[in-house]
Amino acid sequence: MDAIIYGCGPLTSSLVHHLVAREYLVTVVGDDPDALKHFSDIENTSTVLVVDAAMQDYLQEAEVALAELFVALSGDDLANVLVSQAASHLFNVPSVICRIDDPDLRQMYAGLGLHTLGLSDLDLLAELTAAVDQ
Amino acid sequence: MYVVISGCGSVGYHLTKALLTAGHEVTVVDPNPHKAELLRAELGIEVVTGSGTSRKDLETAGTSRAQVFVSAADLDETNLVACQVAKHLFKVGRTMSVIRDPKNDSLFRVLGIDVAVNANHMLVYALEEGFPGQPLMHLMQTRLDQLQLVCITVPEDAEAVGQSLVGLELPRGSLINLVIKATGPELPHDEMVLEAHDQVIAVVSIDEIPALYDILTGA
Repeated sequence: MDAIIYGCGPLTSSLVHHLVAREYLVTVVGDDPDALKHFSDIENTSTVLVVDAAMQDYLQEAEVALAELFVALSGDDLANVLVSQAASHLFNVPSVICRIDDPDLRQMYAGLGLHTLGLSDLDLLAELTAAVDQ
Repeated sequence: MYVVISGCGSVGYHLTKALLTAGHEVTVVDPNPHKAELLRAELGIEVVTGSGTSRKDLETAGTSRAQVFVSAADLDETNLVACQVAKHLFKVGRTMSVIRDPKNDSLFRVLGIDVAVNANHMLVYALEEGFPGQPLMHLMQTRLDQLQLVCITVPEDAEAVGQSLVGLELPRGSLINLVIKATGPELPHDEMVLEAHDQVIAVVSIDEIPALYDILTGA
């Protein structure tokens, strides 16, 4: 199964290992070449460097339409919201998880049917892996 | 009408002025406090220093009584979220946005943003059309995503010169609406013969513009 993770911070790092152990082929999409380099050394993991998350060419390059799972984990709520909605509404990815730290926005997007997680979760990583395993 | 505008760069600023002139009531939300001062002084309007994606700041701007919300910030993601907050939390009836990536057109539409205007697109078209001898003009985007209204000028050396419209194999789904001849505008008909410098106004899908262009300008 294919999974795409947008964002390349420490949370992504933990999640990639979790997914690879569950036999996912993982693509990490991010804007930090150094951080991405670290991911390309992990087995069954590839990377796509983006200049601007709002440019959907990059999502296409990451073959988002073929993915079973899309997780937006960057530290930018707004970018996460845009790419997650593109993954779910344009590319019809069956399972989309979006990190939103702002409580107001998180509540609103949860109300719009987006599966949201945020820093206010006591154990974000545990929540995340539980959501992915569902 | 009461309008809230989020993001007051050059687009937001000129839109604000135009709406005020047309007699509308406008409040601007912009994160730059310096800009807020200038706008208050120059236009005498209410300016909220804050973010168009913040529920609190839009509340301060009185967004719940706005008939129209316009987001004209620099980033597509900011504009998308601002419009969604206005639409879903403040129930604004009409949300409009500037966008940069033409591919985001469809995303904004699917998500219920009423009008999404691509700024870069229009600038590139306008600059392109400024080139001498450029036969293609993009006149407007229609209500249907893929359909555009264009004007193509038939060059002197085009194979189409001297041909009747019925003989042209137009791309599927494209439609010639009007031909401006030296003598004036004429509605197209099968026997109409194209002449050099005729301006052909047609509705055509974006993907077929190059094909239509070749038929009308190809030597």
